[in-house]
Amino acid sequence: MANILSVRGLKKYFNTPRGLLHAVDGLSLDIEEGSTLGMVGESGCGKTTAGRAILRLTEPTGGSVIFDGEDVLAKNPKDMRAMREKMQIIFQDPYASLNPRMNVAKLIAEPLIIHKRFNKKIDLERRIRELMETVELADRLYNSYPHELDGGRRQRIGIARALALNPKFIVCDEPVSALDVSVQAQILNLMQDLQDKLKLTYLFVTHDMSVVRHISNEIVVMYLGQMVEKAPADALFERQLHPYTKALISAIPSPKPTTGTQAEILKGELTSPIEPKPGCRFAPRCLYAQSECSLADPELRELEPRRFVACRRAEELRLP
Amino acid sequence: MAQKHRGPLAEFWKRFRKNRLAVIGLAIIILYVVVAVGADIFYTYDFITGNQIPNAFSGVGSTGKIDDGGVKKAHLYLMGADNFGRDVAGRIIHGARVSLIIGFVTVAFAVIVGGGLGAVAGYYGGKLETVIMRGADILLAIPNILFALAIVAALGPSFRNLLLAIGITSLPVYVRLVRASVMTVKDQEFVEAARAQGATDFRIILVHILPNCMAPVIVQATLGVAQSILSATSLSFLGLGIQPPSPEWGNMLSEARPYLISAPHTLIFPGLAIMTVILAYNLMGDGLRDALDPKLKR
Amino acid sequence: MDNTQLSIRDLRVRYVTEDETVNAVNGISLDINEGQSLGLVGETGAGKTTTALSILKLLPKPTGRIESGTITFRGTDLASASEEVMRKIRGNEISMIFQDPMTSLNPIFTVGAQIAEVIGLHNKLSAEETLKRAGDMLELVGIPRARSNEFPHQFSGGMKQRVVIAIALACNPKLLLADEPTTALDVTIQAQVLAMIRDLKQRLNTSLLLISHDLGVVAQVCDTVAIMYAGEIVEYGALAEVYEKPLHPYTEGLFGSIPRLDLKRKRLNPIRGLMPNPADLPSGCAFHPRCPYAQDACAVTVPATTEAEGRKLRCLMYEGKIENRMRTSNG
Repeated sequence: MANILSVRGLKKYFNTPRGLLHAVDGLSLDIEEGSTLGMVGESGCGKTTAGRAILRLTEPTGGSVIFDGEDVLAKNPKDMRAMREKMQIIFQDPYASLNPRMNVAKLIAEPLIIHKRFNKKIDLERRIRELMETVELADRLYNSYPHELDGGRRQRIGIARALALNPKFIVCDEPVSALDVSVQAQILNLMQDLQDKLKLTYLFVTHDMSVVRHISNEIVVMYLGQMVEKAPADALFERQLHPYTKALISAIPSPKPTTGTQAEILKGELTSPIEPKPGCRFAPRCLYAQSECSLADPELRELEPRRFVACRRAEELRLP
Repeated sequence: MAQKHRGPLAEFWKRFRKNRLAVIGLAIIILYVVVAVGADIFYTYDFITGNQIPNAFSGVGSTGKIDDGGVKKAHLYLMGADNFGRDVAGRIIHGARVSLIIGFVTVAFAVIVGGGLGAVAGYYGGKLETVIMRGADILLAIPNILFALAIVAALGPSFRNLLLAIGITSLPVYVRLVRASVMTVKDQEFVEAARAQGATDFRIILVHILPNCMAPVIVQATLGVAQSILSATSLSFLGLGIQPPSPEWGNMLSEARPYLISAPHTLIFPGLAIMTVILAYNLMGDGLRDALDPKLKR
Repeated sequence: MDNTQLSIRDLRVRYVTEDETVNAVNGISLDINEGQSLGLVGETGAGKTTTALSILKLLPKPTGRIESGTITFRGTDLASASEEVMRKIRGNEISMIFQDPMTSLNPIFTVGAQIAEVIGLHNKLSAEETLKRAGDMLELVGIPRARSNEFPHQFSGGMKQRVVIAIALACNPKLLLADEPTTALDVTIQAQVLAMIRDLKQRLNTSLLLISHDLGVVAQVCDTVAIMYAGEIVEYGALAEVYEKPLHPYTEGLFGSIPRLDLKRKRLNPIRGLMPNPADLPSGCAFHPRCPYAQDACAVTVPATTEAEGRKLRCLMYEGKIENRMRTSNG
């Protein structure tokens, strides 16, 4: 299948009193149509900013984003608004992402009204109810307000809203992180079903490693604004090529206490993303770092078919 | 599961109801509005120019004869008569109408214009914000009465100029209030969601941001009506607002001053009217603030 | 020898407001022995935090109240104890740490001062001694003593939580209550903090009540687990055994809902439906509307706590009152 999204050298910097903050620093990736690319990392890795920059919800500082053959960053505001019909977003916080003064119907109707999809009120209503059914929201909730509903139902409203304009691509920004475990599972299943049915492409941003493995075809691991590893989901969990990925995966608390592997506890804390020095940004915490690692930024290389790593010692280390 | 759709309005009413004083305030105001709007129905005779001097300074509850278009009728002076024999109660009721108009018009003007400027300042920031906010600061720095004095002195005392003066001096409060609210709300995720759906800035401000900023504005507007009425009253008292013989509580007070000892009822009733209405607005405003504050838990 | 530190029997806690009455905890019983770590697992609204707050009598007044039951700590019944007695216990014999390290620390005092405060409240030491002890605690949680004079905002999330743990352990309490202590932290930082908790608890022989919605986190630290649902403990036993073979349908459902690294599955097996409203609980067994094995009796009879396979369960299947369909469906 063709790549529906191609990002090259995406940069997003913020001006802070202490200097330039490199939130996203040279990110390049491709997503195949109909697949799910998982993007993982911890606080400050830039994954949330990257998702928003790709959609131009925050204006990128540099790089290029080609979506469905079109140059997203070159669009004027009017054309960009039209593009938004094809690229949507689902937010993490089902409380903050819904306007508290609008009921379910109004919330789902909003994108349809903005893009003037329906002339007759009755057609609009039918489409809303159709969308509610698609996301398994009971019809009787048509006039309910978000504060009357639980997190899972609110998130379904967010999904219905994102689907309203029949987009091809959806950035999912931690869509299940704020939900209870049993509701998480319901929403994840729903999202997978929708992907199959509507041929959607997802960029799934999350910090939860188990969730990302479950839902992704390929996974990108981010650290301090840069991609450190990219691989097909199963391959990544079987064997990691980058020391950070290895630490990340071994840190996941597993419900099976018998899997004896002691977590590779990283030392120290994240270094600052403000005016970062040249060299590998993970080196200060890396168990395998050597002096060369801090001299120059490591290149992203395709070490094995479809497996990319940014670590100069990757082949040498051959991490198990 | 029973589905009672409590919109934000019903939620608010439930909380407001619990504050007895606020409800009393609201009741008084409703009464006041009804009376003011229906002023012509309550008192139909010409009370402005007054009538027979023999009725002057009639006490409270006294009766007398009036000339209603040539027909002599008996009349009950509920609150007595003033120095011109005019029915005090009638003048108060018609004065209520004047105050009502002043209160609502000036506040509506201030909310719409001030709020609009504040929304633009808060949403766009930058130079636009600086210009608007410094303008508001300048207005705030000038004492209300002095500013009104200046306008009236320049343009002459009239109802229209009074409205203009009070309206303009009320602006800065709303500019600041709305700007602060907009700045808080515009960073919330549902605004980002609207942008992600392709909404224009205008729609975002009007449909998404402003309705969520209404709470502090409503509270301020309620208290603002009281302030406007008080300002108008003060100006009229000083002779700069509504000119006699048009009835207005402030100029009624002013005219009654010489008769404080001899005919106190001509002073007390307008005074009471002012007090009651201002108090009612303040009580209701406080109640509104409590009911609209999402953080307050009973 | 009976080395039980904490013993809760049939605790019932309610929140009463003008609008409604919320039955947060509905008759739970548990024991924590010296050196034991009990994990209290459940989803939002199950009553775990309420249980912990009840132990230290920190329920919001006037809405929260302990309706009945006993909470015996080393011979004293906390449920009926006076505020004076409780104050001597809080921070001293029983400590609690909360989820959000950002708001647990007072931003205007140095971290050293905050540790020293709790030491000073329960001990009569000289100022010098107190400060030295505070420094000792910082070292214990892996923070250089020299940072005693820094303010909370100068620390990262993970380090703030370490400071919170230092405060909690400063008076060497017998029992530590930890309410979702690592939920707000990144996963690698979480691993650090959990390792530290494991280590400290062993060194100081502190008993632990760990509250979490995360089955994995609980497995890292605890030896015993109690699964809570709608204010009741539905399964309670040795962690390894419960995880190996869940006996209660809800526990089984929880394990089916989480994406697992060790199992490869196409689709997750969520529990259908939603948590019940604690102000309006279902009749009979609270879980029956969502239970795949529910039968007629379940809507009518409230299950009692029974024992099966070495653990405590609340389910009619184990009372012999209904057919055990779980066993048959799992072979």
